[in-house]
Amino acid sequence: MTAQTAAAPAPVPGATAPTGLAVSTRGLRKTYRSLRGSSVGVEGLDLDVPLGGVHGFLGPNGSGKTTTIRMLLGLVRPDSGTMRIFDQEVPRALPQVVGRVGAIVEQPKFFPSFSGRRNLELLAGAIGAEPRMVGTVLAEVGLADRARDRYRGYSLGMKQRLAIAATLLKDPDLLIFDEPTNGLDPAGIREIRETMRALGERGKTVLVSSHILAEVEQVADTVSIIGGGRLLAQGSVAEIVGRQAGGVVRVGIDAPGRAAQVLAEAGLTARVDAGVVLVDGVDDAARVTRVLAGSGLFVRELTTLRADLESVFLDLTSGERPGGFVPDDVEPAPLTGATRAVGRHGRHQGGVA
Amino acid sequence: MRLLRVELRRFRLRALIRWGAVGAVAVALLLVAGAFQTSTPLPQAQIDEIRAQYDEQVADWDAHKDEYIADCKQQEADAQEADPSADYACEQGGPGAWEDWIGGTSSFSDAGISSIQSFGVVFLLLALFLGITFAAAETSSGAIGNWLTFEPRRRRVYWSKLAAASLGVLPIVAVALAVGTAGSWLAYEVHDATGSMTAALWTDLGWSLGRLLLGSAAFAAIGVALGMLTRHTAAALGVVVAWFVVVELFGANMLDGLQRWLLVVNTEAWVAGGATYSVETCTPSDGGGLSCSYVDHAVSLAQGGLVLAGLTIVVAVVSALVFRRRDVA
Repeated sequence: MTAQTAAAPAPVPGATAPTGLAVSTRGLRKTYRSLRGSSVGVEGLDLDVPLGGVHGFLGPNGSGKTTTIRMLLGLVRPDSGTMRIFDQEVPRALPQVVGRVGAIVEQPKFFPSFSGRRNLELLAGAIGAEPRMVGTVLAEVGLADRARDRYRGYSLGMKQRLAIAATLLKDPDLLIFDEPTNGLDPAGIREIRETMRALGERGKTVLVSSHILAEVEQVADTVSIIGGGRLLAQGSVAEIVGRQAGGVVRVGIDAPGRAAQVLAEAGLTARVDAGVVLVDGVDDAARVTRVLAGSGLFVRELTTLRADLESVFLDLTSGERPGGFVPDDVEPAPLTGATRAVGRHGRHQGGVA
Repeated sequence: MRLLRVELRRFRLRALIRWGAVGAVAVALLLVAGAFQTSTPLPQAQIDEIRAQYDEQVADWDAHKDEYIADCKQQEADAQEADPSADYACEQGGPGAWEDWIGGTSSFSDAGISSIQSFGVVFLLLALFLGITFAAAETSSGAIGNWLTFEPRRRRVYWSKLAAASLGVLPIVAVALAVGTAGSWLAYEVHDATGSMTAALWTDLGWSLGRLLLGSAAFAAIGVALGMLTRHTAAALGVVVAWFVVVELFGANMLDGLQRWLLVVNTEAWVAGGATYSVETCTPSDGGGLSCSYVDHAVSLAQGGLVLAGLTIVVAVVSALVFRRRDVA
């Protein structure tokens, strides 16, 4: 994972050796139990969020993103595993680090009969923030004119802005946004995106969870992709896309069946699909041409298939059970690896090698 | 202390709490109106009318006294064939004393104080309701989740809410009690019916009002605990109603031994300085049947206080433990 260049926050007394991570989890597991059985929320999650910049936390609906965030914030108790924020073990040390963490989990929830200003005044009072901060953060998010209106009369966009203002009361080093653009109009989405980007550029760490790829791809420096409560991939956007894209080469050739056989004999994974040969796990496309030419087979076309983040996401999460219902007597299937190669379901952009 | 200050501010700012305060004063004014009505003497015309009826009854009794007593004794003798213990108290017939016809004069020193103590229970229920809504509004709206991202120490969060509700209801109930007590006294005073308010009686009344204040703090705490447990005002009120129906009504009827521990009886003992409850006791009679009578049992002030304190502590601690471990949506 590529470390970000943003300035690291001051170390917290009592913290363990610095890891360069704002958030890390190891073996995190949460199962929701009810009379009907149990439902896996998160299953052995190892998540790393580097210090500084925007980290996208991607996964389909029900994949465990919100559960993970709730566990980090101490709202939900994990069954097992460890979590660290700024190298402090949470939830035990949450009181020590919570002042550096601002979070909006799902829809903002404030006291509906109080005004936006009054809600923030109460929160400021709870954390001992200067009362003048309330006016400052309200102005910062463009809510100063509506600050005295009741919260229940706010539009969804205004509620989101109020929630962002609330997080800014603490001037946090880590901001956690859970599906921040849900229900927002395009202008609101752009506004939130720009806010996240700006915070990231100011050296803050922004952890944004979303199931909307376009939203994250435009702002995220690094991403984690989860499905069915498990980590599927993690790294910088370029790394993840590049890692997956490097694996598939499409070969146009007159004898695709013979070519696939030759390539297989050379240790490559090749298959015939719609009259062309698809070769998986290729680091160097020239190797394909060398092997085929060595057998007297000459290619008409050689294309490295380049994936975008969306195709990677769809490939990684296709078939993943989104936090589905599991009877008590059934153990979840183990995950075979932290990342997987782009499969045939992926949407690819062509590029001539 | 910072959290407590913030919670007290939130308590004070809630619209429902303000309406509750208005309601408490309205109840106090009802108490005053009742005191005024009770202490108002009967109009002379009505007294004259009752006097005429009384005189008529006296004359009738004097004229037919022997005949009425003989009839009564005959009926008594008939009844004694089935139940030898039948006693019709025939010698005590007649119209009775004139004072019984126009009723005893109500005074602040007896009826007034008794009414204040009875109305005090309404303030306790109001405190319970305010505590429930104070806690449940936050949990049902989801605002508690947001709150915990600012202050994750759940123990502190919980006890600050409980303490804020307990302290917050005190001025409301205090004002209502002051209005009700002063107003009642004035109502009786206007009609020159304050009775013999000795220093000891004033002291007793003062202690009773103090206990009502303490009780309202305890009931508000129970309300917060129930609100946090059930997470919805309606659900918490349902628990309260279910308790009264199942335990205080049906349970008490089915199990005589339960009466001593009823919340209603012990609350009355706490507020009024003692309470009594009746248990029906039946013994085989000479004629082969059962002879039943009600026996009064006393519940002391100390027991009332201990039961209320115990209930408050148990409910508050259970709710705190649940809140500490529960996942917050």
